[in-house]
Amino acid sequence: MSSSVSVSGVAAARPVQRELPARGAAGVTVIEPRRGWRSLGLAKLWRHRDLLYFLAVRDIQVRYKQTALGAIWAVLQPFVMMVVLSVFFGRVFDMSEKTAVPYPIFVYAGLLPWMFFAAAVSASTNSLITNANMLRKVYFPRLTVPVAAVGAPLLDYAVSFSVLLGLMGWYGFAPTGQMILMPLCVLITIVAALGVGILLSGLTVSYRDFRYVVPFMIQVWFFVTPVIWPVSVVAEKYHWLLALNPMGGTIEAFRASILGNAVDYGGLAVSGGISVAFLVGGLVYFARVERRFADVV
Amino acid sequence: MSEPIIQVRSLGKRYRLGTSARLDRTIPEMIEQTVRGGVRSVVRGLGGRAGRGRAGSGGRGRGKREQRGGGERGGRSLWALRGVDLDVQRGEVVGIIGRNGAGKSTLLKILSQITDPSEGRAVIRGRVASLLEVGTGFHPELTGRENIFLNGAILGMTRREITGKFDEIVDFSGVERFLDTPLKRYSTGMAVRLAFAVAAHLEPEVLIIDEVLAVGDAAFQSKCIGKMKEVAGDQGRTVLFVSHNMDSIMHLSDRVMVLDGGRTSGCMPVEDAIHAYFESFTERGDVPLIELPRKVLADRAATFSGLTVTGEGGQANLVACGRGMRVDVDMVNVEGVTAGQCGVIITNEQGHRVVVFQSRFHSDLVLEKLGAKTRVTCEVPSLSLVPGTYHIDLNLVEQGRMVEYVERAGTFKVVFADVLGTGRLPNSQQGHFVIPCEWRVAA
Repeated sequence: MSSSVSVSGVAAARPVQRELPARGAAGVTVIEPRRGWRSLGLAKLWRHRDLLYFLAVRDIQVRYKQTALGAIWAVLQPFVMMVVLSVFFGRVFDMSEKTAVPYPIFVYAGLLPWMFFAAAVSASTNSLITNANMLRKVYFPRLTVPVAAVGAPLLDYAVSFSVLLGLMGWYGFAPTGQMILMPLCVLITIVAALGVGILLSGLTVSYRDFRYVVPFMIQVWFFVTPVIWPVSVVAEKYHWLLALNPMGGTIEAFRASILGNAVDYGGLAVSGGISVAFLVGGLVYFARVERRFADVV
Repeated sequence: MSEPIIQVRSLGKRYRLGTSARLDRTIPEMIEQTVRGGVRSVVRGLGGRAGRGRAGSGGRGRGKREQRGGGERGGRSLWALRGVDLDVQRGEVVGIIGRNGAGKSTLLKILSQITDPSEGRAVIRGRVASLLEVGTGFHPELTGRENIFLNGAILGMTRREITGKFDEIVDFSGVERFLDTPLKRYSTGMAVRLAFAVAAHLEPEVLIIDEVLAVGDAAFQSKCIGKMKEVAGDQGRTVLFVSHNMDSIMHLSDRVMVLDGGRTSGCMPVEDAIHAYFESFTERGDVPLIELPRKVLADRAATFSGLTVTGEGGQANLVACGRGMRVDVDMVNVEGVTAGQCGVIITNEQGHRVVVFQSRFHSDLVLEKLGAKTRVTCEVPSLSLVPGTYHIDLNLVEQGRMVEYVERAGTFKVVFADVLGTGRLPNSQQGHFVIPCEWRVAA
């Protein structure tokens, strides 16, 4: 057992703070009734980043196990969707005349962030229910669960991005300097997905209604977001309304940054601000309700 | 002596019975309360952090709860645990025993921070790891290797710690040949061994363990007990564990706490505790069955409401050896039961299960579409148990899942009858059963 003893010596030398709440002296856990508003628990989330990593990896590993096509699905889904939409909206409804760029690349550049957002929000929403058994049996910061649920969709996002590069080549779009805006758009999309997802995951624990509301909500959201239609079909004076949608200004800016169109910085700023507001609101709500998850879930 | 590593003071936990506490608040009510709470906390925040102290928030919160639980909405509540005090010194091993529903698991859950107490306070001075279930978070699609990392992370280990102990864990589990096989192809025993191996290599200062040794085969159990001893003894860790197995309680604990109906009179020496535990069954007197503590895992109120044992001769709670016995079980609130099975479990005075009579095993009887009040009857044509005192546990299984368990719902005596025709019977020291047989000397 000598090896185990030496390892334990190493462990003892580390600060023994990982399980501790923010308050109280170092190394002391205080357990008492908690009520009201608490800290957001971001520090705890950071201490448990390894768990966050493994939960996300689990989702990714499990995602395409025993599928014949494996990770190709990540590419296939948005691609097929793009083809279908191009046929229907591009040809049948003549949407392509209203877009400045070829409709397939227009719609794919919108679908990418949208499909990530939709997948991340629905995964987050259900994450606490799917992992209910863990919540009942082990203590760890609950926030890791809905946050980790965003990992697998994020990987799909990255993989399906390669198709966008292919489409750009096919249609002869050279990357412009505006590309530097793209990471910001991705970041805002992640923030929005986390915000909405965390909020809904907390709500779903208490109100299972949201399991039925969310898929429907995402569908409606898809149609009010400029994914398959260009902002130009909406009268100028209503553009601020579109930006109130956290995905509205973001998807527009994402598309513009890649295809080199004019970027609506105002719209991006408003959408970004609203995304941050969702994240803060989601974290605050989550921190308030997480203590009773184990009893309710 | 240094400060106790665990200090618990008047800890209590209250659960609401019936539907979930949240669902009888409507959405508008919830919004109103949330907004009010927000305003209050903002005001409190402006008034300095002093207002967030324990007395302030705790006191107010408690008032609110009392009101909510207090019947204005017709909700009933139950103290699963109340007024629990406990001091544990560094390096001590404390066993926790008690009947089903005595609050053992609730106490462990509070100390593991899985659920919040409703009142009271506990202080733990060190890193805690808890093991309330073996293999929490195991994913059937992942390989053994992947599950070791996932499970380790869930239990609170960092990636580096797991990597450092990976070989040791694999060694302890004895499943190295299947490391890259998905867990779904493991036998239950292998999965349990792997799970315990991960847990055994946690290096907390305080280890909290619920009845996890109940799974796994005997050889592995003794290996685990050995590992637990090593954890407690050599490495000076503190262990708090629940068990129904009096052998492991006796082997492992320095002191034992007996919980009864959510209350305790503190820690005591092992022998006294085990005595008190058995006492807690006998002293109940004529409490009606429906009021007995029990484990209820379904969303319904208690169902077992009555139990009568009648011997062939018609006497209550008295059965002659080898003669017939009739057990009547009365149940209430069972309208919603689907695919139900009722079990009558007979235990002897030492607490060992002797025999079980199970509606589905023995009669292919599935309980379904029952009336609100139902009586199920079990007729045993010949109860071949050695004379002595026996207890009956009742359980209800629904869709393959145990949903209710009442320990010692009743007691009866088996008395002498000349079933063997020799005027003699073995006694309870010699065996459990009286089974006729023929002896002769080979020619």
